[in-house]
Amino acid sequence: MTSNNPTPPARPDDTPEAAKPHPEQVPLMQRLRVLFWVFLGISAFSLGGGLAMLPIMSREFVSKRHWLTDDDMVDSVAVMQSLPGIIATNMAVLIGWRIAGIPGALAATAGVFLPPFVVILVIAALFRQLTGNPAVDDIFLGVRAAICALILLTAVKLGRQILKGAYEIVVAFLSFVILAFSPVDAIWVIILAGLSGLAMAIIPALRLKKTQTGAKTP
Amino acid sequence: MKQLLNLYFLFFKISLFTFGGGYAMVPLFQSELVTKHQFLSLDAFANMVALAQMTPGPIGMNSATYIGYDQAGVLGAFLATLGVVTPSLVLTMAAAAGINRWKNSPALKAALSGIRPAVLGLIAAAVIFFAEASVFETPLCFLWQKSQNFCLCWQGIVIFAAVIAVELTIKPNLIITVAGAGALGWLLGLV
Repeated sequence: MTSNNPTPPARPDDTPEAAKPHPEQVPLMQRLRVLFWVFLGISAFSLGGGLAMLPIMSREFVSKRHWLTDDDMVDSVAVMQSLPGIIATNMAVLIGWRIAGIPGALAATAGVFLPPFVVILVIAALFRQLTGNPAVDDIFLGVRAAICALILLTAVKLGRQILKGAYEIVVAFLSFVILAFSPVDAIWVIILAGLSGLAMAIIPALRLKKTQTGAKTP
Repeated sequence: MKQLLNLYFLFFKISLFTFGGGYAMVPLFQSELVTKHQFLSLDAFANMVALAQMTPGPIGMNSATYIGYDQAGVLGAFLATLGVVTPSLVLTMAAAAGINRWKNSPALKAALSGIRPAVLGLIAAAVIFFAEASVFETPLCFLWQKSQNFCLCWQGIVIFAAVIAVELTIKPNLIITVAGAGALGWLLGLV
């Protein structure tokens, strides 16, 4: 749509066996430039975002430039998943910070920021004129149905990972019912769920009960 | 000015409570933007998310830019998007500075053990929301409010089933799936 195609940062500088990660040897400005363009590409091409960006990052920063190790990537994902916010920005800040400190975090974030900002501004201006057109409405119905299916598949996949015991099932079910069928704020559901997790850890009696109910309830 | 600040803090707040990104954000957006502030109707909201899904970039940032622009022009779009980014920037840098302590904090682990299943509930609620906006033509609560007619939208059902089938078998690129669903919607609309 707009001409924000990132010039691929493909300077083939992969000297084989470059010593373990030493991003400091690369001039700061060059590191910042690479961070900006790589994350701009990730943001521009990751539809829906999420963990799909991991292979790209590991190619750019681990195998190609040796600025990070695979362990660094795994650590970053673990931390990122425990933080609120958008996955792409969290990842940009973490990786950017590791490679070039605070300027690196800012450069990578700017890269994530720019494509959606430009593209949506262009589209938003057009979009309001398009709605109401029956053909456009039909297309959007199709996309909404697709999103419904995609989210359902995501939920099933996540559920397989997360629902390990009675506690998880109860929390997930209650949050679902509250959110889908009552006007309670989603933020309160998150806060209460976090507190319930803390309570489970602090109160041993609850933990005992958890294992018991976990054994009893199917 | 006040409106711009409000936009910034609104999206700051939504981002601060989004764990797991992407679809988990949909119910948060819905309670803040549709229910509380009434920036847009449910239908317009569903279309906005569809648009955010179809365009490049993370859904959360796309939605923030869109709503910001809708409410207060380019500056509004900028501040709303900045609001989404700020918690990431601050918290992630703080966490990166103490990466090991953060990773192993028992309190954090405990809180997250509760938040993770709740996020699953959030995502499941987003399924219902989108089902109401595509497969069913009415909100599901009308099922037990007998006063309303309950209808199914057959085009929505066909596309929903097609996407599930395609995703479970061929697993094409997401762009192709979404574009195909849009095209199918248009074709079925002609019938």
